[in-house]
Amino acid sequence: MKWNSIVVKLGASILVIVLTILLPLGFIINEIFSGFYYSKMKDQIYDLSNRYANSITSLEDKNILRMFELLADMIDQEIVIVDEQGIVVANSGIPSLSKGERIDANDISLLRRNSVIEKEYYDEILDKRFLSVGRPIFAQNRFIGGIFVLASIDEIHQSIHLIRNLIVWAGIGAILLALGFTFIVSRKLANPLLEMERATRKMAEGDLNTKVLVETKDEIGSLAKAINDLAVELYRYRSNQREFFANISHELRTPLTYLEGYARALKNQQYQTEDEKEMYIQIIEQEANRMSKLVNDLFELAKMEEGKLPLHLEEIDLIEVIENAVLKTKVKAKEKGLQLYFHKIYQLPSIYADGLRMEQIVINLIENAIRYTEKGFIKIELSYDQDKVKILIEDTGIGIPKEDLPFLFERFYRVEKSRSREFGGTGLGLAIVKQLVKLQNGTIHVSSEVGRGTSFELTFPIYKGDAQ
Amino acid sequence: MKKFEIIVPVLLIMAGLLCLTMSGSFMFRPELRVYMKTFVQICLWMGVPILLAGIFYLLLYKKRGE
Ligand SMILES: Nc1ncnc2c1ncn2[C@@H]1O[C@H](COP(=O)(O)OP(=O)(O)OP(=O)(O)O)[C@@H](O)[C@H]1O
Ligand SMILES: [Mg+2]
Repeated sequence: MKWNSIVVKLGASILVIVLTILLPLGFIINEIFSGFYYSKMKDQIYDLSNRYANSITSLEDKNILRMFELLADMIDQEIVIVDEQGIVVANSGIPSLSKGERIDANDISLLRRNSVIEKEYYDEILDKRFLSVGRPIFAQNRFIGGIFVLASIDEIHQSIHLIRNLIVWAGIGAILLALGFTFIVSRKLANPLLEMERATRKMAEGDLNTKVLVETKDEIGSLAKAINDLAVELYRYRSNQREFFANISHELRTPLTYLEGYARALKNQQYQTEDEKEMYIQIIEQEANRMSKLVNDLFELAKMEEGKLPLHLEEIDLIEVIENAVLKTKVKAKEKGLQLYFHKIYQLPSIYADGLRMEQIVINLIENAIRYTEKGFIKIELSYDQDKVKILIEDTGIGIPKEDLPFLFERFYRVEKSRSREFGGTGLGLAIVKQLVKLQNGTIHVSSEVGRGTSFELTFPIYKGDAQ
Repeated sequence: MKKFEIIVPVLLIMAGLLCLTMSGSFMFRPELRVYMKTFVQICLWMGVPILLAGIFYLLLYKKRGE
């Protein structure tokens, strides 16, 4: 166990808390007990002295005095009786005041004035301190002497000492109990943390299938859940990245093979006619173009994902944007014999976006529509409601199977891998579109039916001035 | 490690209970019967908060389970 572990910290804190409670409490209990005991003792000797003083009527009878001495022997207190001169006539066991000796003159004059004396008396022979209470004895209203009742202070202290010991023992017991339970509780608290540490270390080593097995519903449980989520996300990220590299190398290798092959053919003059040579050169140019497009797209995508793509956001008119896009793609559509409709409306709220990027999005979608449509038409529609502008791009093409829809916007995703050669795409177009839409606070949805066509729906929030 | 984790708190709690029992009985009447009786009583008193906590926990757990 480490010295700065939770168990030790909690144990120490609990110990401090318990001590701060127990020590004052113990002190108070000790005070209460000793105070109680002391005053009880005092009451007792006051009472006793009173009773003795009242019951003595004469100091002449030696037998009576003897009886009082015996009586005092039976209980723990000692008595000393003096006559009116202050000379000791009876003594139950205080050696320094033996019979015939005279007590302090002050005391006797106090007694004569009918006052009660309370003082501490020290016996040198026994080396003991006594609490002493003295009272005058009157017989027929005449002062005939005094009686002193003495209780050993040391004995009182001994009793109090015993009690104090007991309290200390009880306190130690309580502290041990507290420590024991603290140990259990802090273990219970620390164990899930240790488990989480173990699991995260394993994750850091690359084992992303580890799971933290903590299922409480408190903060620790939610931390465990967060760690598990993190592992899942990391796993997804890692496999994504692997796939990405595999894809890139594959995508780059294909055009490179073509380039190599045809370049070698040209170098070795493996062509029959000038036309054939021309064709080889054309293929090389096409593949080079394809590669540079791929690299450009990748570069853009990387910048977007890092959030480093500069956007010139301003208030723009979508009608204009779409007219431009249609103008640029019209030729391609015509080449394939496709109709390109744009249902023009004359009034549309403006949106806050980057005009060129907006055009890029629309062109990308229209190009896809043209590329994946054999016959029929492509239709572009604009509409708006209270807070959104909607762009709809529909085609009557080959469509996309349902199971491919969720992955459509992922990098390099193509419905059929064979489609790429046939149609010449790289699979980055929709990923770029998605990123651009997201950067401009829009949404994109796709719905499609195989053999009937596909429609992409874009929405963007309406620009409401700077007060937005 | 696991064994040690169980033994330490059990020892601590036992020692605590013994101290308490000592101060509660042994110094007045050094008799085994009195000692045992005090011990059981202390355990019962200690059980009260644990029992309360257990009941409370069960109630809470049931409520959440519903
Ligand atoms: N309008 C559409 N009709 C049918 N399939 C489509 C349509 N648009 C996209 N797809 C499918 O989605 C895939 C991904 O499209 P994306 O635009 O990302 O890549 P691409 O068109 O193949 O290449 P790029 O656009 O980068 O040149 C395409 O390969 C195609 O299979
Ligand atoms: Mg495309």
